[in-house]
Amino acid sequence: MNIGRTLGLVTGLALGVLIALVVLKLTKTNGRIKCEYDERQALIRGKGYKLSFFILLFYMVLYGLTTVMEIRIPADNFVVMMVGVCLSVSAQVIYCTWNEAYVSLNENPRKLIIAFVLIALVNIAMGVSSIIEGKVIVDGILTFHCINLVAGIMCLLVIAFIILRRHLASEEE
Amino acid sequence: MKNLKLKSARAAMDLSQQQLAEMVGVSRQTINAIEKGDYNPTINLCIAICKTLNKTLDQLFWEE
Repeated sequence: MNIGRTLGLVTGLALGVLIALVVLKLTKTNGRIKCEYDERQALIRGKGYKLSFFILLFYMVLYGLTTVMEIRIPADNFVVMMVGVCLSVSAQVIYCTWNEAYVSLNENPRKLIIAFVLIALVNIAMGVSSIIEGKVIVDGILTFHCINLVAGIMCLLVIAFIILRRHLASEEE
Repeated sequence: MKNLKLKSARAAMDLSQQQLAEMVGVSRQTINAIEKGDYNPTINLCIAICKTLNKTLDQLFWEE
């Protein structure tokens, strides 16, 4: 890997961490970065992590089997790994959202939804730009440039679940 | 099983679920889950709720 690409990767990662920190701070009602959960939420979140762990485990075993059985997946290893990560993260988020344990005590749900919408839009825009530039599929192989699109779709899914759950909760009240 | 004692004690003090939740440091959904009988709170949370509503553990959480 040349120096330019390495620098680009490091800068991108640093920018990602910085944006995540800003989003974490801005979505809180008390100006803190850390999320605070009550005992029921902590319990549900633990179950959510367990679910996501087993989904990732199952996914990895399936992927391992495809290589043993010499089934060719038309995608980069990185793409396959990231799709697995996105699947397991989505499972955890959806489980916690459904059981009303995703939004922490010191988080503003509206700001959180706005942050997710912005993250989704940025990722989808980058994904669409990669498609237009023809970087997503090269020689019939799905490249890592599709990750933004996958992340964007995951964010949209999360937004949809948060809104749906809030709507159902308000109806229950 | 629904915890109607908690619900009525809260209503008697004219508190909403959100207000009680803020006073004991949990989410509104957690108070709702306790009242609906979907969640069994820890003894610490039971005590916090009892102190806030000026009730004893027996009065709110003991099933006759």
